[in-house]
Amino acid sequence: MSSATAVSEHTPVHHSGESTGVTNAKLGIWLFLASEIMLFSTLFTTYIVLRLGAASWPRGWDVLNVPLGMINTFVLITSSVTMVMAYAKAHEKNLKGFQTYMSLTIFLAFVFLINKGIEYSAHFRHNEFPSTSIFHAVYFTLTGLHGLHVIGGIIVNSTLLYLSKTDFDHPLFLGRVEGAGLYWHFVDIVWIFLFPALYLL
Amino acid sequence: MSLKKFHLFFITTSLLLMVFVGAWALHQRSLGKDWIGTGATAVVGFIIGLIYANWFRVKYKSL
Repeated sequence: MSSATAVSEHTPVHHSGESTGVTNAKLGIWLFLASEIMLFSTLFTTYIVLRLGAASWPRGWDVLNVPLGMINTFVLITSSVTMVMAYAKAHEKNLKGFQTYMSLTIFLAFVFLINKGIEYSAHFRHNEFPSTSIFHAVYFTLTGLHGLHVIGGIIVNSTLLYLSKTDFDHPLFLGRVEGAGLYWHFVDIVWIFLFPALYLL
Repeated sequence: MSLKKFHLFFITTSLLLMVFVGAWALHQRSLGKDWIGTGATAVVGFIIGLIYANWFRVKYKSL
């Protein structure tokens, strides 16, 4: 055996972009989520600093609709369950099951946005805008940015639902669903922190 | 972290939220405000979440 052959036989070859131990897609989504964590952490810190420095701060339950916020919390928790079920069905190569659970996830995301819209419109009817007070500025910024992320999730999940008709058996499809699932769980976990911070404290 | 592990982390966080909501309902009670609906929701949500987490761990061991 020549030395050149020996080198080629023993040199590690990395398939499917897994030189870091995880696929490039998963590494990419986690790097993206890390930047998102930094973004929301900054806004949460701003909220804490503003609240601690304020002479008076309204109680969330006095000015916000707690039952609607609670309903939205359960809607998002359920949507994470349907999202992971969609992934499980994709893992089992069950197209119908995948499409059913993914459609449910998208539907629940729309329910969340409609509830948020009802909440926002009630605020606007009472002449409460981001410029009304620092509390309202924080509330609209945090929930508005979160709402934009929910819209982003709807776009990604709808794209995957559409692509499943043709690309369901593609070797990268499962990884894409997992990436979307990680993003969706992140969006939901942000709300898990937003709800008590804004509504209950 | 895989989606399965992140999902279990998410469910654990949601269970902690239910504990927090339950404590908040008790605080509302001490203030003489309506608390039963929120308290009951937190207890029911916690129980369902716990049952689901156990079911998910067993059912999707190989996910």
